[in-house]
Amino acid sequence: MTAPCLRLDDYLDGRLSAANAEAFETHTLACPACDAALDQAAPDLSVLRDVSCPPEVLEAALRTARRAPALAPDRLPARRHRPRRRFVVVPLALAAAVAIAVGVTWDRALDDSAPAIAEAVPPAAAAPEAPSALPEPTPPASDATAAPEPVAPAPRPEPTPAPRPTPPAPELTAPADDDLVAQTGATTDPAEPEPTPEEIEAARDDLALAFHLVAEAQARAREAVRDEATPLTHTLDRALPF
Amino acid sequence: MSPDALVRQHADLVYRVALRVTGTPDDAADAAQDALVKVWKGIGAIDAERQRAWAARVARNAALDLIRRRKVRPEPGRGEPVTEPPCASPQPDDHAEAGDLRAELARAVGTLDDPYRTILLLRDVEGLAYAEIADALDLPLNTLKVYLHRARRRARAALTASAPELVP
Repeated sequence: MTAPCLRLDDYLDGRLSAANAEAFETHTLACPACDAALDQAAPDLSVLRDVSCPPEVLEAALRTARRAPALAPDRLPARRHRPRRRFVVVPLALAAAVAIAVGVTWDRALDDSAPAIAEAVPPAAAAPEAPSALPEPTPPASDATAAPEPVAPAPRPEPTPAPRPTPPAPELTAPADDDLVAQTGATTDPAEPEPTPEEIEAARDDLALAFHLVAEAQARAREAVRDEATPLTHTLDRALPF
Repeated sequence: MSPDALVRQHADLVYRVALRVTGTPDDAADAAQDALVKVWKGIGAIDAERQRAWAARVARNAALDLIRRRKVRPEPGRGEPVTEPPCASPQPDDHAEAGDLRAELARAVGTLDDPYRTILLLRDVEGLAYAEIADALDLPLNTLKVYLHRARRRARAALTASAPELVP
């Protein structure tokens, strides 16, 4: 037994200064007797082992993990927390908002200009094979922008020798709000087998995960905006005399 | 061994680490679920002798991530679970006494900061070897031993104040 060994009780009872306690801890690395004595003085924590993982937690994790390879890497829970993500989320959110606003405005502009386009185009320029009871087929964007121009010499002299393929009738008669559904239905192969309940459940879970991630991104975006705005507000308060 | 079997084998360890780091059963469930998904995905690439330590490391990181995310890190001395999870194999006679004992010990462990709390848990509760813990926490072996002595001394001091009958 050496002199540092005599400090064992003082160490255990917290009577050593921080420096002396650290020196004693270093001493235990080279003193098996003190090391063993400290082991024996440790509280018995084995009773804390009587806790098991709840089965619902385990099963939920296994369900998520089995679907994980089918998910994109950035949708996995393991990738939810990336550094500096807030600097990505805010511009993305703003871009999404602008895109939605532009899309709505564009749709309304097309709806409003549809009668004007129909009046501006002479009957000879209209597709002759289109039934008169059906509205004008929705043209491509380039056609829609070119049609209102009063001087469009290219289509006028030609009696439309090469007619454009007309969309199927159900698309023409579908209301505007149902266009997306109708188009989606038109592109679905009728021979394609119905999804299984497992696939539906997996898709539903994926959708729930997507909503969860979007909600989390929104919360982080709000936090990021608040973090950025607060110092700016303080700076303005100090800089402005009013 | 399949990933499912490996996850089931380490699920209790993962949950206990998550529980002691987060301090509440609800947060532990969230952290453990995230950690188990990561264990399922990655444990196949880990050597068999390192899988337990790696699972503990994943659980600790998931719990610390959750704490940082929610910014509800339990303060020292107040980190004990509000409701301690039920015992895995409850005995009718001494269930209440064991529950009290467990709550006292959990409270004492909850007074420690990380990494002392995790080191104490992995060594004195889970029984991992020094090398496994050093591997899991990326600590030099001698540093780990010093930290373990420090953690035990602090837990002993916390127990001396609240439940001296539990101090050897």
